[in-house]
Amino acid sequence: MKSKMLKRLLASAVMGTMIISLAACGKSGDEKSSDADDSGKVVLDVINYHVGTDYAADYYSYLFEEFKKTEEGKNVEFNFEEIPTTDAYNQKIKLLISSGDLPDIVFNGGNNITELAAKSGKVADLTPYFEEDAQWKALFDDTSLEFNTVDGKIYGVPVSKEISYIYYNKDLFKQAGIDAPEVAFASWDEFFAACDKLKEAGITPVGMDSADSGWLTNLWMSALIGTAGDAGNEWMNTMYPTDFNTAEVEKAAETIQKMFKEYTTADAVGGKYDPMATHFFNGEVAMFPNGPWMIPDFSQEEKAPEGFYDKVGIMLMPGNGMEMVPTPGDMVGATEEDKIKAAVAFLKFETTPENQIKALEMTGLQPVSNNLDIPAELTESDPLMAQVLEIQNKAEVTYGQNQAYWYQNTIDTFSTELPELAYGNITPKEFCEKLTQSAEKNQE
Amino acid sequence: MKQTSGTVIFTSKVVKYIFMIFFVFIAVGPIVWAFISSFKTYAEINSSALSWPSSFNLENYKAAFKFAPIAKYFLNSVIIVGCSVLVTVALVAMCSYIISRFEFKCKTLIILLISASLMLPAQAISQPLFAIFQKLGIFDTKLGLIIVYSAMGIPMSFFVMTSYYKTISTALEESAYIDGATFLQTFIHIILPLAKPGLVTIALLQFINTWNEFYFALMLTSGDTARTVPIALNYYMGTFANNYSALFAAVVMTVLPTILVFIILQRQVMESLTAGAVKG
Repeated sequence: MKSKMLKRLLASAVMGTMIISLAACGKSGDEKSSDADDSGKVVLDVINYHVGTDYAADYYSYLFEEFKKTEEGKNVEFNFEEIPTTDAYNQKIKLLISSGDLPDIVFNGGNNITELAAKSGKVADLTPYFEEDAQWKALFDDTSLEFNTVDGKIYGVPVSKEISYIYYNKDLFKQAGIDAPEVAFASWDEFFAACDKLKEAGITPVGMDSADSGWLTNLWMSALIGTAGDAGNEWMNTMYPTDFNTAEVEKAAETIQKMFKEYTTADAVGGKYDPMATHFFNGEVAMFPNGPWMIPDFSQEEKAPEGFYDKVGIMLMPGNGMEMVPTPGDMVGATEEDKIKAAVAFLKFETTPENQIKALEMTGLQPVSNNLDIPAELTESDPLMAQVLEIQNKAEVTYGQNQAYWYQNTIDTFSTELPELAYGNITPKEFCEKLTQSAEKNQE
Repeated sequence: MKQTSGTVIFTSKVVKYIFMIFFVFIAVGPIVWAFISSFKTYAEINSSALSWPSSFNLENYKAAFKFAPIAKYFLNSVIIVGCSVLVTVALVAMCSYIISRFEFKCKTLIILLISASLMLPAQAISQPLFAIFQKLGIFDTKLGLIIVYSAMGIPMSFFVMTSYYKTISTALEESAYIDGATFLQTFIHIILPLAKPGLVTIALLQFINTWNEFYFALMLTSGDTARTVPIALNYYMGTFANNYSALFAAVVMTVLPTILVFIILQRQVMESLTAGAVKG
């Protein structure tokens, strides 16, 4: 009896010790962030994915500090949660949308979260704030606002525009005896004639990839479809397409297959962006599709050889085409009035013309507002960026790209089936059928 | 005849060494490759995966500390993983012994419940866990992750240990009871020492699985208090802005403890893997 009692006591003591030692690793209740700090400031919870090596980490760090110096921001403090990479951010934000624990400022990491957040009813309707500040609303064109509108209400504040075009190596063009066009090759036939000339000179014409969503190949394919007449352009500007077996898409897939076989590097199949970019930096590839965020890399000696910046030229896609999509905007997840106001004040600050230009200067992000006065110092110090600002006005055809407009599972299918297409294991028509089947799964 | 048998022995030795070198290469190759790459520049890494670095300096290691709070996350990993290994091993050592040795009501149900928990995908339980942890005040704490990791490790460890206990002869326990040992004494002094290789194996499996776990470390934390090494490694990856040089340096720094643990425990692991293999 006594021994039984002793055993129980011993067991309880062991349990107690375990619980206490584990509880010591826990968090006391008062550590949780509060609505306002001791000085009465409004505390905004923010999940920031612009951290670590992110291209906009320095810019957002600057933005938060500068906001606190403004009249609207002097009573605001930020409580940050850092989540490196947009993939990880999107995973977490989707969980927070469904649990209703959104941060006060919801950065938009793409991945179609605007509609998800709006339909959950957990983000603020920003329409009244746009209506009461006509000057702010005038900074955005209708397309950008419509892109962030769900059921007639604006939920996101777009902070930039995404554009992409072709970078080319002037030296390699010269070596192959090609006169680079001022704006773009007039047609894809001219483009491929130039590719053949480059090949004859022993130069690999284009950079392509297939892994990690196949970003570069996606840009070529979007351009091929988007410049294929009105039907192709309309298709490439359609959100969530489900029929990929159209004449334009199948033709584009056929051309992509040809490009993989004849005009790109051997490691493009299965390759991802970084090694392909290094081929371009090292002068091993003549043309590379991408956006203005790549410009700072050209002068980074860690990535590109010294003087590479001066060797790069810019042109639009054949037929004066350019990928241009409005970006999904940042949202407000706060529920209390003072926090909503403070969060909206931050989003207004983020989109002032001055900060749009600062973002352009520091990150290459294209201003969401049209016709901003770009300071002469910026165009002088960064002639390539100046050229981007100029050449985009010459685009006659604009279209979207798959990462902005397609269903996520279709983007994945695109990436996984590209090697099959490249090796000729499936025909372009079969490739498109697989994309169609994948997109249709979202309709079930 | 003698010459032929000598040739056969020589050939079999050569084949044996080729196999051994091949497996050593597979095991050590990636670590050596990561170590060499940790001294290469971005351009060198992307130009050729197998080239030699132009110089051996510690710039990438400095950069690794600059971009991410790697030291803090490393310490968190050590505490969280260490505790979860201890909790898992302690619980599994006891419960799988009972299950493997005794017949009692609901035994099958308990085994079924533990088996069923193996089939739950992390994504399916993340939201309930998120809500429960917030209510209990253990969201963003080391305790929260220790509980989750221990719970996640129990099913697999349970089956490993249950099988292992079955290889230990019951005659040993019977002898102990005849000599007057109590149940607790028998378990602690007879069974546990014999089960050491099995326990080391589950400790090792638990260590490796939790050291690399990313999803819950992200979902159930919001700050530096409880985040672990896999999250820190994400700081070096970004859209169009990967810093592979710093990433390799960070990987080398964070993978070393795993290797050290394996070196320390490898004798027991080998014993565990081969235990029973020679029994007739």
